[in-house]
Parts: sequence; C-alpha cells; structure tokens
Amino acid sequence: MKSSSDDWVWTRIGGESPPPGDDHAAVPLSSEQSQRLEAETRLDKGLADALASGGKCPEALWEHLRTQLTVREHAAPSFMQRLARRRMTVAALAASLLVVASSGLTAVVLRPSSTPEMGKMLWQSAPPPANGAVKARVASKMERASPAEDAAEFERLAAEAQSAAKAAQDDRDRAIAERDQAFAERDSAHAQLQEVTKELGLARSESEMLRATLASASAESDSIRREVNGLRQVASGLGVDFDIWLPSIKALEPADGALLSMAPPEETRSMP
Amino acid sequence: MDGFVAAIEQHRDLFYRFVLRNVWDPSHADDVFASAVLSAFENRHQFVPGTNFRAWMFRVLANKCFVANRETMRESTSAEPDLASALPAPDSPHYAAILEDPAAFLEHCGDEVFRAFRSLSTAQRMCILLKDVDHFSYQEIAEILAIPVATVITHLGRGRARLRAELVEYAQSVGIFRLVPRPVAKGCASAGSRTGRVTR
Repeated sequence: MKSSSDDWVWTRIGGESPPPGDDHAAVPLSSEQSQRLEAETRLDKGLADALASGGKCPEALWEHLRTQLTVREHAAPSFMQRLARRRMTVAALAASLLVVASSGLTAVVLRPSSTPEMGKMLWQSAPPPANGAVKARVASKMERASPAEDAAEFERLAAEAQSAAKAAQDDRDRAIAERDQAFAERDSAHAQLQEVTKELGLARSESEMLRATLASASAESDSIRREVNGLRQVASGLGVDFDIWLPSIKALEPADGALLSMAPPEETRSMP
Repeated sequence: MDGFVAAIEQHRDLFYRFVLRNVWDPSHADDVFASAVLSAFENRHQFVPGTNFRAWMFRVLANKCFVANRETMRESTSAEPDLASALPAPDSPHYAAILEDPAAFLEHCGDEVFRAFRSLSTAQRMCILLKDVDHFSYQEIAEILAIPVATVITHLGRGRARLRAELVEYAQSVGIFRLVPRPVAKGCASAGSRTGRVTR
C-alpha cells in the first residue's frame, strides 16, 4: 500500500509517469493542491530556464581543444593501442613458431620410419603446380628421393644456423666488450673530473686565505700610515724635518684577482 | 576524429554549462571541461555506436566533476552542504507569495539562483540539471550517474526543496515581499491563502 506522501512525491517530480503498478492516479488532488502543484511546476520551470541561460563554451577554449584533438590524432598511438599491436605481433610470432615446430616435428616423425619407397611416394605423390625456377627447385627436390639426402641437407642447414648463431654470439660479445670499455673510459674521466674539482677547491681555499692575509696587511698599513701622519704633525710642531715614504699596499693587489708573492714593504726613514 | 569533434561541437554549450554549474569552483570549469573532452577522445573506442552519445558524454563529464569537487574540497574549507538542512520547501507566507508569481520572483533574483544552486550537493545539482535542463529520463540519469533510480528521485526532491528553501530565505533577507497577514483557513495550506504579494 502506498502512502499519500509517495503520491505527493510522484505528482511533484516533473510530471513523468510513475513506475507500472503505481496507483497514484487513483487519488484525486484538491483544487488547492492542484494550484500549488501548478505554481511549483512553474517555479521549477523558471529555475530550469534560469539555470539553462548563459554558460556558453568560450570560443578560445573550443579552438584550443580542437587543436589538441588534432595533434593527438596525429601523435603516437595510445598505450592501449600499442599494447594491442604488440599483442598481435606476439600472437603472429607464436603462430609462425608453431607452424615451424609442427613441420619440424612432422619431419622428425617421418624420418626413422620412412623407407626409400615411402620417401619416393611422399615426394612424388603430389607434385606442386609450379613453373620456372620453382619448378626446377621442386624437380631437384624430387630427384633427391632418399631420406639420407634429406638428413644431410638438414645437417647442413643446422650447421649453417649454428655458425650464424656463433657469429651473432661473437657480435654480442664484441658489443659487450665495447660497452665495458666505454664504461671504463667514462669512469676514468669521472675520476679525473673529481680530481680536478678537488684541486680547484684547494686552490680556491688558498686564494681565500691569501686574500684574507692581504686584507689584514692592508689594515696594518693603514694604521701605520695614521701613526706616521701623527708623527709628522708632531715633528712639524717641533720644527723638525720628518720624512718617511710608505708604499701603498693597494698597489700590490693584482688587477685580475691572482695573488702575487708579496714582499714586505720597505720603509725608508730619515731622521735628522 | 571528425565525427567525434562534430558530435562534441554540436552539444558543447550543453556540456560546458553542465560543468560550469556542477564544479564548486567555477574558475576550474575550463580545465575540467577540457580534461573531460580529451579523456573522452582518448577512450572514444568505448562508445558503442548507435547509442546515446550525449548520455555517454555526460557520464564522462559527471565523473570529472566529482573528481574536481573532491580536489576542491581538499584545498578549501567549503564542505558538502549539510544534508540535514535540505528540508522540504518551507510552508511559509513568503513561499506562498513566491508561488503567486514565480516568474516575477525569479526575475528579481537574478544571479541569486546560481548562488542558491551552488549550495546543493553535487549529486543533487547533477540530477536537477540532467532532468530539468537536459530533459533526461530517470532511467538515463540513473545510468549516467551510476546510481539507482530511487536515489535519483530522492536527489531531485531534496535538491528542489533545498533550492526553494534557499530562495525563500533570500526573499526574507532582502525583503522582496511585503507581507499582508490574513487569517488562514483551518486545515488549508498557505498556497491557497494569499498572504503576500510582490512589491516590485
């Protein structure tokens, strides 16, 4: 049994038909309810119209998206597509291996039990419809009616495959050796770089130390200069000739920042 | 690709408006819309030809909006609206006055409708937009949002009620209606009794 609230819900929600078996239509609405329902429907419609207004997609955004879609279309395939392609490749490879293995197995099965007559029968039973070079090859094969010849051919092919595998192995070993040599050279260069970096750090620290020494010497020179100036004033007050030459410590600083071996400044003092 | 772009272009305003109305931060609408379109393009092989492309695209957009709103919630303090406050429309004189002339009231509201709409939960907003604006059936909305039909109906009912309650609150706060109290008939809802009128 449905409650009246259910009926109210079904009559309020947009006028869509209720699920089958719903007997809401059996309950008539009063005039007030009908008016209210109509007013609420108009309110909902007005709200929907308001929500549907505006909000257009900006043209610039759409153009940007269209460009991106075009670029992606022409870009590399997605991961799933690549995976699917790879799966197809693997399946094709497996199928070809299966064919080769089955043909080899057939040859092995037939080999011990086959007699020259059977071999002749097998080779001559169904000659392929071919012409030209293919026909010649088929004819040469048909002439080789003995399984012993087939075995020799098989052994020859196996030997060729073995030599090819050996050559590939040699190539691989050579490539590995070259790679190891390149790694060794890289390590050696890295070690040299580290050594040079270390020496550069030492040189920098020495340079900083010498720069500090030069600064302290400059400060001492300034203090001596101040003392000499004081003595000059005292001597001039006493009427005594006092002359002293002080070399400028600044002149000893190299222009390019390199440090020179600095001799102590010579002082010349002449006292009467 | 041309078919895909043409299909998107045909409904791009619908799709963009759906995103704009559903993300909590409207400044993210462009990013969410672009992300949804590109994601749909990457997975276009999942669309079954002959089915409703609009519904399929709305499903992608809805998922993107949910994700964007979750991220916005982490960043900001604006949480999901309190469901307990999503009461049915108030049976107040103001509501009765609104029902007297809904068009005039909505014209007066302006952008207040969007503000009230933003106070709804994401699911409620999506249900209202898909039903009232894009005219999907309940079954289609349920498939788009991957929820039962009954839940769609619940979201619609609560969302509409909450929207009305917000608008009534707005009408009360700004004093759109000058109420003229009149005696209310016994057992009669306020809809029938004319308790106010629009003073525009």
